[in-house]
Amino acid sequence: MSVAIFFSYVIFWLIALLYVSGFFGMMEHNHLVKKLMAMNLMQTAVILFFLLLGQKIGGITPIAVPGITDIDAYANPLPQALMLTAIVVNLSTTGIALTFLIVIKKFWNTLDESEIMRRMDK
Amino acid sequence: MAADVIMTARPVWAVLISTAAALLIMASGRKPNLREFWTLAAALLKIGIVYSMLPMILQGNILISNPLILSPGIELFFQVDAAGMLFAALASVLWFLTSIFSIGYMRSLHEAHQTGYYASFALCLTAAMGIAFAGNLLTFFVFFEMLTLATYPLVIHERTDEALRAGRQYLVYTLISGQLTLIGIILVYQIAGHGNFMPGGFMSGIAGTPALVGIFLLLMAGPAVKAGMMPFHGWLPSAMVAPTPVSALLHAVAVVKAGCFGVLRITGYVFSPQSLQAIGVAKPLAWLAGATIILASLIALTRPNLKQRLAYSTIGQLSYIILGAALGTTSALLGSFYHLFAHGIMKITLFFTAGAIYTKTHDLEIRKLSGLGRTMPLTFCAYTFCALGIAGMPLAVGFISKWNLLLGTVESGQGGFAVVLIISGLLACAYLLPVAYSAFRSEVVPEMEHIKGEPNLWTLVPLLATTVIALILGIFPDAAGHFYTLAQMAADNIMTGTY
Amino acid sequence: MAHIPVLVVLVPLLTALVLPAINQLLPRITQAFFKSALLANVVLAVLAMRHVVTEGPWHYWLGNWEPPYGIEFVLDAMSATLVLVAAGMAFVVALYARPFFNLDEAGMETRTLFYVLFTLMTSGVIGVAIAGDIFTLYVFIEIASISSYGVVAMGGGRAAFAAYRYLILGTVAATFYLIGIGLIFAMTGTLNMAQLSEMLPPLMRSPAIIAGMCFIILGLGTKTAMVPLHSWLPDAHTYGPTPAIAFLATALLKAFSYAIYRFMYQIFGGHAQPVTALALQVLGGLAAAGILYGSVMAIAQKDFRRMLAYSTIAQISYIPLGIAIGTPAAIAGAALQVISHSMTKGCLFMVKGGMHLKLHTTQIDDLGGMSRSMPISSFALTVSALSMIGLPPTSGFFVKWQLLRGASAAGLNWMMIVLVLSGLLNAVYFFRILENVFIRKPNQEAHADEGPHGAVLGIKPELPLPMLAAMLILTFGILAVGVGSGWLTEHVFSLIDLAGGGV
Repeated sequence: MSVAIFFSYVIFWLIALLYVSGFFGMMEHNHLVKKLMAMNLMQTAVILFFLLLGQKIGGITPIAVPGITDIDAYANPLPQALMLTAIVVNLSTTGIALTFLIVIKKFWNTLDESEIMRRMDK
Repeated sequence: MAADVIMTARPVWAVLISTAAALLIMASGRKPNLREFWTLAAALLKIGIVYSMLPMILQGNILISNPLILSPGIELFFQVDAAGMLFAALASVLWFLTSIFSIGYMRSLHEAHQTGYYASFALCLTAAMGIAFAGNLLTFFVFFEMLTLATYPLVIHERTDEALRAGRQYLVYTLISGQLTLIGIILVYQIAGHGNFMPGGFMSGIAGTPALVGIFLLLMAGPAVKAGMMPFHGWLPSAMVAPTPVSALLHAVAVVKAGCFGVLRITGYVFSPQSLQAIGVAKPLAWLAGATIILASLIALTRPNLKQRLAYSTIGQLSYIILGAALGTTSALLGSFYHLFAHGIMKITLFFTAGAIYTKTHDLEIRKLSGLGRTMPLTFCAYTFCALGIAGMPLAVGFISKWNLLLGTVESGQGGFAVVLIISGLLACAYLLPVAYSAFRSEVVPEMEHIKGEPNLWTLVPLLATTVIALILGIFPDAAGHFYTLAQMAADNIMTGTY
Repeated sequence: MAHIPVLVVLVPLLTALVLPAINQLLPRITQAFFKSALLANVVLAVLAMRHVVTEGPWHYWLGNWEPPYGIEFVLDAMSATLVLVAAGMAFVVALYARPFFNLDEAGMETRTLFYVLFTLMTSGVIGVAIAGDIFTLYVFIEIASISSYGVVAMGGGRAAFAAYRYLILGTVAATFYLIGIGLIFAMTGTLNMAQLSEMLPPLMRSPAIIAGMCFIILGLGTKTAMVPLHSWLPDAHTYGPTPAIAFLATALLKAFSYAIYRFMYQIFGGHAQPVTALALQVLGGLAAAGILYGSVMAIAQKDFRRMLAYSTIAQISYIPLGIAIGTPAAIAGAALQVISHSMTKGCLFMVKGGMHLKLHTTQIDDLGGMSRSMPISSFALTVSALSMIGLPPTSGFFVKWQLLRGASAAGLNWMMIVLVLSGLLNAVYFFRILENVFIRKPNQEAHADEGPHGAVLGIKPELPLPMLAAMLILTFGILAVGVGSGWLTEHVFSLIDLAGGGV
């Protein structure tokens, strides 16, 4: 049991790591597509975080199984439902970002952020 | 004297009539005659409304309009008492005369942007009337800021770089000081819970001395700047780039008088003379006013341009009012209130004469005005009479207020200020009379030899009218509008603390 | 009647969905449909406001599912105000948008795309106002944000880049917000605001809740463009298409700052909770910094568009400032600012759009002679500038008055100085513009052209009539709200419940 608890902490730290690496990726990279990918990484980390909140040790998929009436036997379905919405939001954000990238590429003929920033001031 | 409170909407009409006029003026910009008709009609109506309230005030009543409630405890309302009545009567009468004068002046000089000019003028009067009738600090502030905005287009009327600079300077002075006043007002509302003007004030002893001093200084910032008290007078001489009727309005009616009126409201109706002495600001204020009187007169001596000279004379004369408020005795306050009126009449005559002369000469350098008294005798007679009045000669209206102020200095046991007043009178002779002397006595300078005859009637009639008013009131101070009684009532209100 | 809370969200949402179809089948009525839907929404918002004023807060359970199982919509005085502002601004901007896009020579598809995104954004903003649980709030925030990225990008290549940066930062902010929700959900097990406000007080010292609060403030603060999280705003608001920005800078930003208010007072307990009180203090400091920073930067700008963008940063911070002060007067001031700034800044952006179309410049130095060629716009500009500076009798003055009153009641004298300073800084940059507009002679190279539209309309108004109408509605609104601020304060803002748990 204590091993399970230990690992449940570790997985939180791993998710935090994923999130922070996404954050740094976004800061570090000049290339706009890489920024987008880093952003996706952050979004994914948040989704995982929520799913973990609904997770229970030994909990099964929250679909009613005949014979099992104990609530504790199921994982909490609410975070999963919420994350379905969040995934849709992420999808549309990414989609819109990609269309922007096409427009940017056409207009500026580059996807390098600092290059565009320099030309923007003119 | 127990006062009856009469609810009436008349003050609201008196305030709004000139706003309506401003809109009509804007709408009829293409037809100058119609436009000027609106100005004059509104001015006459305003006089009518203001004077219709006079009998009720003289019976010792006060008039209150229905408040416009902004939130519980914060409301806009008008309240007409003796002091407000005095200022309103002055402003409405002088608006009418200034309008007539403006028509003559602006047309004979073919000035541009006249529609905006008359509209701003009308708005100024709305603001001045609002200040006169404001029943609390919030209402007062609303119209005070409106006045700033309405006079800005007038200051920059000429659209030259110099005018723009003057306009900017004017805004810097008035907006900054206005915001300081706003903080003061907020603090008053916070501490006292309301800001309704009451004779004898409502701020005595409700907070510690340092807090009261701070609030007093904040409140005074706006009015003191508008009243041109040194060292905050910088905007006033620069604003002389405006056309002369504007200077007349700025200096005799709307702006500076609103400042002085604000000082009186704050010293007498928010604080009281006693409490100002108790917190120790009365003396410094009196000294500052005294210093302003002397310094401004001395500077006026050095100015070669008639308008500039009149500007500094205004700075000096207005501080009489502040001095009276700081001395805080019945006679001193009576003198202050009456000087509000008296100085308005006399100074506007002086500006009218300056303007009238300018329409003929296109120059106001004093050196070049010599000898013109013989071509324009009426104009220069009017000038001479009012110059003497400013100096405090008996028979002119200025004497009445100065006499009372002198009594006040003695009453308050600060006779030193009597010396200040007398020196100031002598200095006024020294900077105003040489113009008149050389006009009648000296030779005409070569470039002015072509000038013949008096200015046109539109400009001449108003200035003669104000001169006659100054003369009549100098002999019978209570004639025509019972202004002396009003000033007396206002002073009594403040000293007794009741209406 | 009984379904108004859901209808105010659904009407724009459904409009957005059916507009493309209508545009395909009956292109002639696209316009009329778009406008009448938004007008209907204004009527709904007014009805909602009336209900709130006469009968108090309105709790609506979607599908009649009781919270915490169902989704709850809540209309109280504050949210009804925001709904009304959003619906009203949406309609006024819709009036303005059509001739704008006509003159901008945008194609039919571009226009329809704009209408779709715009109505979506409207529904998002209204949703933010009435959401009764914090995840629904997230969804509406994202609906509003994503459509706003889209409309900003419609302004061309520069706008696309600005929108891209806005998108990245906005999405990061959204993840912050989600993490915050997650932490709170982990501690309490509920997402309903009313329940949270009951469950949270004993938990307020737990690190998870404090961290959650920080994440939420960071997320919402970025979306509100509070200093120092504002870096996306100036470019996006400079290059985006005018009608979009007129809504973005007004209703959208208000919605996010309103969400901050919702969290601080109705979930985290306001000043009664020591932790929240501390957070509010920090918020107040940031807001004050934002006011000064935005004003100073605005003075430094030569381009009217950019100046407006920085001025938005300053003005929007009035709302967090009022929230941070937290006395009834200050909250009323913040609520009044929601209305006042929406109308004022909306009007200014509309004037800017007119300049762009008619004078082909928005450089402040090139505006000479504008009062001659565009008198009505100049009038609108003047009134809104006065409101920005906070001079009576415009609504801006009464905002400042209420905030000053609030700050003085809370003993926060330094905030009074900040507010007054901000007014003066505003005066510096707006009088500079007014001076150019009214007094300077037109430049030789930059002269107003009549343009093709002038000839078409016969009598040649300075701009197409709907654009002028939109501007004038807002201009007179500024004055009316100024005079009516007392009524609003007494009858609407006094209903705002600050005790916490007002949901």
